[in-house]
Amino acid sequence: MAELRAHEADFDEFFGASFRRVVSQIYAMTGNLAEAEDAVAEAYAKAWQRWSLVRGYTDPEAWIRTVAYRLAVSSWRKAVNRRAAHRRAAASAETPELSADHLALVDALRQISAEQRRAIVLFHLVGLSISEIAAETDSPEGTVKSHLNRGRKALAPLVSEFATAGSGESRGSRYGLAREW
Amino acid sequence: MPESFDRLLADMARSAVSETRPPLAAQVRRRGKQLTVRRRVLGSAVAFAAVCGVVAGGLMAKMPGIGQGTSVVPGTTYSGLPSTAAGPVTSSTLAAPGPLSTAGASSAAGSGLVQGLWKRSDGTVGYLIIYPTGLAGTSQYAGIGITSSGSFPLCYGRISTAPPDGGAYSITDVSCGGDLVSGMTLSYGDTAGHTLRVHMPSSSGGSAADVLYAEDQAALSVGATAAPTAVAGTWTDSAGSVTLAAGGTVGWSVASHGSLQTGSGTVAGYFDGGMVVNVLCATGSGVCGVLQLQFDAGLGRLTVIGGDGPQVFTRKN
Repeated sequence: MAELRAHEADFDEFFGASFRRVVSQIYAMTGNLAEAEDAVAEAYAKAWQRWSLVRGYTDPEAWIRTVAYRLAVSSWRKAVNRRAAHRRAAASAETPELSADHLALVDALRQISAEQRRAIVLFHLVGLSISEIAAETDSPEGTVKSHLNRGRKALAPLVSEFATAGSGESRGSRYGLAREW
Repeated sequence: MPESFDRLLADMARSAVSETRPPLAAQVRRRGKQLTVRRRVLGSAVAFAAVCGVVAGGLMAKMPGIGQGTSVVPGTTYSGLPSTAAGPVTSSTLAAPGPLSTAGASSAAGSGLVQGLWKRSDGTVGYLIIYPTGLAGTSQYAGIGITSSGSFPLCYGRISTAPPDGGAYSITDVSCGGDLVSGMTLSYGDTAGHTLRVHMPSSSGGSAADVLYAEDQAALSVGATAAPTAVAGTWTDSAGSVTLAAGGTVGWSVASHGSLQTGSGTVAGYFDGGMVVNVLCATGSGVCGVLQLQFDAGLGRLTVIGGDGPQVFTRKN
């Protein structure tokens, strides 16, 4: 029993420390906060099913993020019964109040493809390297670079630092600002 | 827009979730359990294993309808008639049920619910066990268990031995890893009674589904004489202890309902994830019950499932 409680405590600590961060990342990838919350909660539930395995991964959070992203973009996930399972009783901010700059960014991200958006978020928000993104998305590095470049070009009118698209890919692994909170 | 895209993106993401209220970790774990239950019962992804059941004296019997310390006679049908057969659960002692149509209740009258071990028909590893909960022919209920090897939770419950209404026996008081599940039913999948169909109702975990089991006493390697090395030894919990000897004998001393219950038995066979123990009668001769144990190697736990639900024992240091 003590072992089980330690197991639960370990999971709870991981959950508490990472839930909001992963939601923010999935939100940035999908543009839908409610969907992101549901998908991430479901991903943690799935993680608990196999916690003894997931906890041993080098980066359990990456596992959560990958599963949550797949759930968020899969059509079956939108089934009502699943949504109901995780919909919180208290109304949460499904449409967060964002500043004009933030709304412009969300809108801009919605203009690019899902693959490009995912690559952009993993690189610029999560702070993964090209090779790490390739591993997480199960894509060749060349494909990741292509998604990044095309995404940046599409965002260039709104993001001045992307005017010279393609820069910044060689920064290697770096955990971005999101890791600060 | 600001020059730093990284910071802008991080600020935006942080703002978006600043008002969100994460679910409680316990809620998420509970949801995970629900998913696990469905996955195991429906067998969608993981190999299944075995079930549970119990009986006799000490370790069991607080479930309504189960008398403490009652003995059972394995290998009988629940037809309301006294058993004429005693001994370990083997195919030779199983009586075939009468014709039972899943479509109509009328044909169920007078037919029995066959106890024993049933194996999934879809090729995945999984078992369903129906076991006695009291003196043969005296209880309105039988026990039913569905289990998976190497991991928990197990599902166990009661099933009415009365002729089914509408062709399906209601499985009640189903507990899967501590969560209650309602609406499960059991019916014969063919008129000859060689197939069982477990129905899982729709729930938040998914839509309704059926799982078929075929009678398969061969799944029990009856006659095995040595307990697995990993399980041999003494296991304890706050109520008492269970000792398994390498030679296949089992003894226990467990407090239950304010009294100390002791007993012994012998391993009658193994199935994936568990073992069947024939409980010796208090007189020292004959078999008075069946005890089922399950070993979780991952968590190092030995679970005995009885009328009170699973009792978890850990290895004595």
